[in-house]
Amino acid sequence: MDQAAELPNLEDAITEHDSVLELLDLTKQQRNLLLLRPLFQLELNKNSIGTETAGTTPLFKDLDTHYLVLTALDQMMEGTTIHMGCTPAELIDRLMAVAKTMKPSLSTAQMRRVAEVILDTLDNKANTYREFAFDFFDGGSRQMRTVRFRLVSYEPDLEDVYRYRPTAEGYLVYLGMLDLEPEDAQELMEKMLDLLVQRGRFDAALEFAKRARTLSLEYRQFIRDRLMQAYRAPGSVNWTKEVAGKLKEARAHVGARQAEDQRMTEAVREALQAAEEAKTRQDLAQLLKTLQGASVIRANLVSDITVAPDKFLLAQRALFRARRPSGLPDLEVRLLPDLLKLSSSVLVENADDAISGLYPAKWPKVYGLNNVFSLLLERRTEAVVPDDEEGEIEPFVPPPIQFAPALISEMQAWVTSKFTDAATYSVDELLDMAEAEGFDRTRQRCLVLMMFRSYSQAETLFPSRRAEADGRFERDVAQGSNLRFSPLKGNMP
Amino acid sequence: MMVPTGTARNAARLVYKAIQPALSPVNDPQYRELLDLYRAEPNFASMVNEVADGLELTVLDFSERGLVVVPASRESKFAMRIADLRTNLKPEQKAGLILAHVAVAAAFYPTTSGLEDDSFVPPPASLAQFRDTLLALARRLKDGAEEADHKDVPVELALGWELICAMPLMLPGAQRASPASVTGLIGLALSHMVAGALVHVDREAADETQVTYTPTHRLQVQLRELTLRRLFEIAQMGTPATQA
Repeated sequence: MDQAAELPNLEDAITEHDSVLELLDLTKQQRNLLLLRPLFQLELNKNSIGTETAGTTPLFKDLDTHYLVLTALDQMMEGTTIHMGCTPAELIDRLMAVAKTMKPSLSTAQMRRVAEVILDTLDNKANTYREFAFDFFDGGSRQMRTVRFRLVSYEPDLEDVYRYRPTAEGYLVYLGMLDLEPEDAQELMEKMLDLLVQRGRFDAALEFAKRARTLSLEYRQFIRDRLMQAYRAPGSVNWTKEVAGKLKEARAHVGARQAEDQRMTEAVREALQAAEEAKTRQDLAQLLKTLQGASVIRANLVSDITVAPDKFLLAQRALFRARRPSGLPDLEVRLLPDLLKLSSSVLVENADDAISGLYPAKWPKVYGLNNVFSLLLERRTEAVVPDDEEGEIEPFVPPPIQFAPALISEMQAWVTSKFTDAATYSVDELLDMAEAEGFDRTRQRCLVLMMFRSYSQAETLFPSRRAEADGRFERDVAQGSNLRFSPLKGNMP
Repeated sequence: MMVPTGTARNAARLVYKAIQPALSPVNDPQYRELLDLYRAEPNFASMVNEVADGLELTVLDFSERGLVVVPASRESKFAMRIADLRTNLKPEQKAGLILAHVAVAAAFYPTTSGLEDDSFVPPPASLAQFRDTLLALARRLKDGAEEADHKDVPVELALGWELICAMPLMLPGAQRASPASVTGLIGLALSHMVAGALVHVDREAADETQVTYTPTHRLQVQLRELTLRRLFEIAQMGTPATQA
């Protein structure tokens, strides 16, 4: 009873204490910091990378990895202007060229390695391409939490070619932690562009116009994804609620941008007419082209929006086919979503149930030859999990010398002296003689090795003798084929 | 050739034929005759059912396309297990593999009406279509969910769609089915479904993206008669857990 009475007091005390120590919610700032962590990690550890190709000097010495990573992101964004991103090969080529400019001494292999390291960093290859996951302290809830994100995605475009493009987080890293909605960022950029044209800074204005175009593409992609989703799973999308609103927003957005573009184009055209200097005219012409390009992209977006409702209706028609009443749930609309909502532990527990219900009876395990072949021919790509700790490099210690040179020449001289007569000696006979003359075990072993080496005519120490194998010998110092050394015919006295 | 009679030997022979998914009565006269007998003689039919029963097998369906026999329970020696598909899978990969199988089935038979219509032939589909079926759903669920709620869930409690969304879509440079990516898991499921005569390779191609698949009659029957019900039970089982 006493305890129960005390408890509320205790809780009061805690809440009082809490109100004093109010913690700020810094989640957004922390998250934005953590987005950059993969970049920082690379820069910090760069000197330990690629020592195998660069020898003693670190491969990444004098290479700014931040610049390279941002270049990769920029390239991917540029890639989204024409396709849905960049293929790995395009990115590697670009990064190799940039790395070469930064450090001309790089060989082609080294440039490629640098480019791959940059790409692997963005893709989290070190952690088998999983999402980046970092812990941070959440002030609001007073506990550690985890933020998970990807910087780039590797996904197929409409022709099923896999391409890299930045994720929303990737854009955030590139846009320098501004954390703006794509629409807001675009407006900001266009204001800047306007300002730059007025000030006559056309080259910078061109750069900005390019960025603005990239952003409007991202917006188009965003809407396209929505539409694609609606096509794919028609029965599951509530058009009025989920998609129509988005399309309306997009339409308004595009309309506003088109008007802005129009105004910008006119401003640039006027500037172009007034300009006399060749460089200025060139910049302006380029700027005009970029603006018109963006205009085309937005026009495409408009057509996407216009045809979407019809396409949606077409897809939806399948839903109204006459059907027999049935107690079974639809696979795509009901079952798969329901299963996707299960926790993975439930799925794993019931995995055998599902699999045994899906597959026909299998034969108790006996391998057919066909299966063995296909099994043997299957090439599995195992993702290599790199060690967290770096290994130590131990100095190479050469094995101790078994026989001193003096000992070797002593034994060679002894055998040569034996071989002066015309008799034939075998290894066991030589060993017996050596033992009789009081040679120790080391010398006897040296003798055996010397004789075996001399078996080969190319390496023999006793060129006047011919060696043949003849039975076996066994001694406690050595055993093996018994070699017989007889004088060569030409050397016979 | 003698017309087979309703002996125990013939009953066992028919079951033997039926548990070889690759066999078809079209190219096997004996199989055809035994099927005719099964259709004509109720006594023989019940004998076949008993033989199957004794072997922990169940006869799901018969037609001129063959006798569809499946393991009677998950404990049956004939039952396929997830470890038979690929050993050493991580828990999230096991869950993903199950979802990949269901996605393949769902791409062919989005609605039950297709399953119930024996004359319905779904159009061929490619790996990309199966992948998109799975991804579109997972992403839709992700968009629908309050993002903040699920950020800190440990892997074993993560929901299926979270696993799929978090998994890389494809490993750059990976040649063959790797269970660490969504595409790899679907490839793995497909290769086993082909081996189990659940799907056919409709068009072969050197480029994996060009290969298309069609479902077999067996897949349709199994889904309709068994798998769907079992999946539904699993889905029901998990519901209280997700609500909690």
